[in-house]
Amino acid sequence: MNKKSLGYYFLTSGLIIAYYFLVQLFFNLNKSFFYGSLFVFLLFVVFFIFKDKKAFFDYLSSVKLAVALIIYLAIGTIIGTLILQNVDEARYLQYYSPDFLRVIKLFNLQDTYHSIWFMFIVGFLNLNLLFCTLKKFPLKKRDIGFFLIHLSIFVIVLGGSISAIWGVKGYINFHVGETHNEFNLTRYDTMLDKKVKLNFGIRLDKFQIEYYPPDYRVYVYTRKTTDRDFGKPYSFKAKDGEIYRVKEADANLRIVKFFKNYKQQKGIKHVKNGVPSAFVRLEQGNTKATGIFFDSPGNDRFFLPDEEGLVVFKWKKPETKKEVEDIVKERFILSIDCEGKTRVFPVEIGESYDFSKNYNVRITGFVPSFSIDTATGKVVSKGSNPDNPAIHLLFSNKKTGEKSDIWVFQNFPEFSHGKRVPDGCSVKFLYIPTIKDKPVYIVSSDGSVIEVVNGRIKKRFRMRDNSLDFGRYKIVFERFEKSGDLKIEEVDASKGKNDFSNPVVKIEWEEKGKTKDLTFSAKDKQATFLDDGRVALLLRNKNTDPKAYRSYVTVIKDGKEVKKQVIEVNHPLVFGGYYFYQSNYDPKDPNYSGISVAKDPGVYIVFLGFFMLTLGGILRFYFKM
Amino acid sequence: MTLIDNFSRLNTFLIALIWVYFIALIIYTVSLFSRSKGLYTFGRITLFIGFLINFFLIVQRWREAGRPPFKTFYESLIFASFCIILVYLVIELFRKVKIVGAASIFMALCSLLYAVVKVDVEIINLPPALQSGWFIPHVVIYFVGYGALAVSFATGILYLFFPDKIELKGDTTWSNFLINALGGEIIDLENFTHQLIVVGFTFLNLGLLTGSLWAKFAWGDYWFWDPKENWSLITWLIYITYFHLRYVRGWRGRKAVVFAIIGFIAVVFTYLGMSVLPTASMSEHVYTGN
Repeated sequence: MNKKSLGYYFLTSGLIIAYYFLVQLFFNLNKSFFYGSLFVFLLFVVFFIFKDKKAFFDYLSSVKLAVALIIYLAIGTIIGTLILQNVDEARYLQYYSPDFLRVIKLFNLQDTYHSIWFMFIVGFLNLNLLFCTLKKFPLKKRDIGFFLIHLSIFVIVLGGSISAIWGVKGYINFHVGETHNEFNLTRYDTMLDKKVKLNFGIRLDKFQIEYYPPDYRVYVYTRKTTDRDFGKPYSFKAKDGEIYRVKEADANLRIVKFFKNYKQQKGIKHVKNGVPSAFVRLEQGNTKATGIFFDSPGNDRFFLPDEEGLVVFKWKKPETKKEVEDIVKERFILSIDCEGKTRVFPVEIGESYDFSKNYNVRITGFVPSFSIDTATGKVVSKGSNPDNPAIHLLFSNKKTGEKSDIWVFQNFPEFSHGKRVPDGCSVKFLYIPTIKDKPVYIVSSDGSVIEVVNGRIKKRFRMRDNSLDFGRYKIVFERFEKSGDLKIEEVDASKGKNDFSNPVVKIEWEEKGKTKDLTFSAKDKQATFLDDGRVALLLRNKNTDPKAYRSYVTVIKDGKEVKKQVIEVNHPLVFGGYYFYQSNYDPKDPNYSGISVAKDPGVYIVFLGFFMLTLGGILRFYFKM
Repeated sequence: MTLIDNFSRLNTFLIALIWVYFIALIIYTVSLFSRSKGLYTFGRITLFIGFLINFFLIVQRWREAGRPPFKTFYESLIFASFCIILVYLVIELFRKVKIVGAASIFMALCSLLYAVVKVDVEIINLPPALQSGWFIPHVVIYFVGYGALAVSFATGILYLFFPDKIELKGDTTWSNFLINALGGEIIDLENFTHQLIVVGFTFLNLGLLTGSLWAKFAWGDYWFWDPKENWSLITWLIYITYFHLRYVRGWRGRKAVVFAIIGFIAVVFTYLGMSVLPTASMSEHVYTGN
């Protein structure tokens, strides 16, 4: 019936498609040329119909034409995947020269699948399909599969066309609390300046972003030499006890411990030649704090909250009235270091003492909380709380009477305002505070307490359950240690599963038989460098991506709330013929939700088409009726 | 305590699986030249053990990740090898085409070795769009389809070497070899390939249907002209061409099968090649491993 070869069909249909490239060109350059070219095409069609009607219809109903057109359609589709589609100008110019971009746009290759030539191929193929199908009529039972498959293509194209013509796409920028009853039209993800009214309103009641549980990992960056950039990192889960191999550095990395909420906690431990000490806990409602007393000058006392009193720890209970008085007395202790000799002695305000070979010293002033009044430039105390005690010393030369002065700070012994201590000596100062008109409690390791007010013993008693109870709060003496020292303990103070307030990892790095202990935090801005700068480590959370976005919306129609729904990705709101999709969020604005809108009247026809295609295929191939 | 080396931080079972498939491949290849039933049975058992390990790997990964293991290349390549072997094992129930078996195992091995090279082993969370009831059917359907098409690729190439509908008499060494390798005296490789493509194509259609439904509910459109979608369309068009060419005089047979072979190359490109496309950044379908 059909003698023409496949090549003939390729050539002829190829020419026709090429003609439509020209039509596309005319469309973009000159509209009258465009209509002219369409008219010429129509003339050709009419000419061929009149010339040889049978040949014309044979051509159109040929399976060889189908093959040629399918291949051309495939080629057209491939072109669309090789050229960037519908991105903005700047993005195009990043990849293509302006001239090439102009050529692309002349043939509509920047929007291949909506170009005239592409749609022509689809149309041509459908026409071919129609004639092929018609040729099969009247249908036999065994042709059902064949018929369904070919019809399905029509149905899909029909549905697609309906959607293209009557379908609407848009976008709403929502903020929590807002009600919108219109949306912006969009085209290729860009907003158009055109709005569509809805006959109902949608209110965003709440917006929620749910994240995946945190997954902290040690990211390993490596490079061969330090003058190169680091390559792509890989990561190890910060899981206690895991040992990982870092091949590039020929090293092993062991996760010693991962802290979700790293805190350093002070404690006491037993040592030889230590200081008598006590570990206490201050409990105030639900908050707990810990502290340590050492029975050494300056470290043996603690002011109660709001300066309601002072607690002093003495390992041995003071026996005499004199001992008690010495303990509760405010004291200033100087430590003078001259020519390698250190003298430590208590001083009193206003008194003079021998300082060094050539100098005497007079104690001329004291402030518990050093500050300088910016108005007068004079030294003042910020308050009575001894948070920055300083003492004023006046030196005078034993022979010449020449004078100089200095402020000495307990907490900053090196700091001297640029003034020098005479005779090359150095001086340190320790303030032992006391409290006036308020009780001082002297606690001893045997559990006994002496309450003293203004130097006079008021009461002697024993602690109950090793604690001093003051009603609002209490101090619990947890441990006494006769020969103790400070111990710093690292603890994970995480409250609950999702408390990652201060993630810190301790690792052990083993390289060439040597091990190195490292600690770094997820809050570190700088990486930790190893292997002479060839390896860098960071602790970071891998799971920063949201698990779900949810918009809680209410549909309002005629002033009434008619529907409540949670819009999620994969779970759109369907109302009034429109679909509303969760499509965006703003990491900086927790109240923002981007909702896209679609009305797609042809979509179910398309689905029907896909279904018919699948079913038709099964019938055609598996049931040869 | 476990020592984990980053660049072979692969599952021990994966390494075991590669070895088992490799042994199966050797036995199948040897059994092409040997009529020993025992050897062939041993090969089948080995392959089946491999298949079970493959299945176990998928289940293990599923449990570890707490989601279907089809997100990263690593995961999907393991699933691809599973599907290829699945299709072959079903075929083997009907005909002992050992040579097709060897080719299928070879392809499954390629897939697994690629997974070893890719090492995007890390477990990635599912973004909201993939948390859908359509995720599993969509992926499983496509991969079973890919499996069938992979085997059809093997039989198609075989067909190019052997003439139409060979009737083997067993009178020459060569014909004896073929009877053994193809599991019988008569075989129509063209028809065999065609049937596999029909199966694969049916799954492609189903995949298209589930994919379009999913896309509609996740993003608001059934078709996005996404590069992966376009390449699946191209693949589909190539197989359609193949089906039609079978009705063009002078094209049925070798020439049409060439299209089937090109079709599978397009499948592989659709599956693995998306990241090389300049339009890849616009795709929702590119496998991400970081």
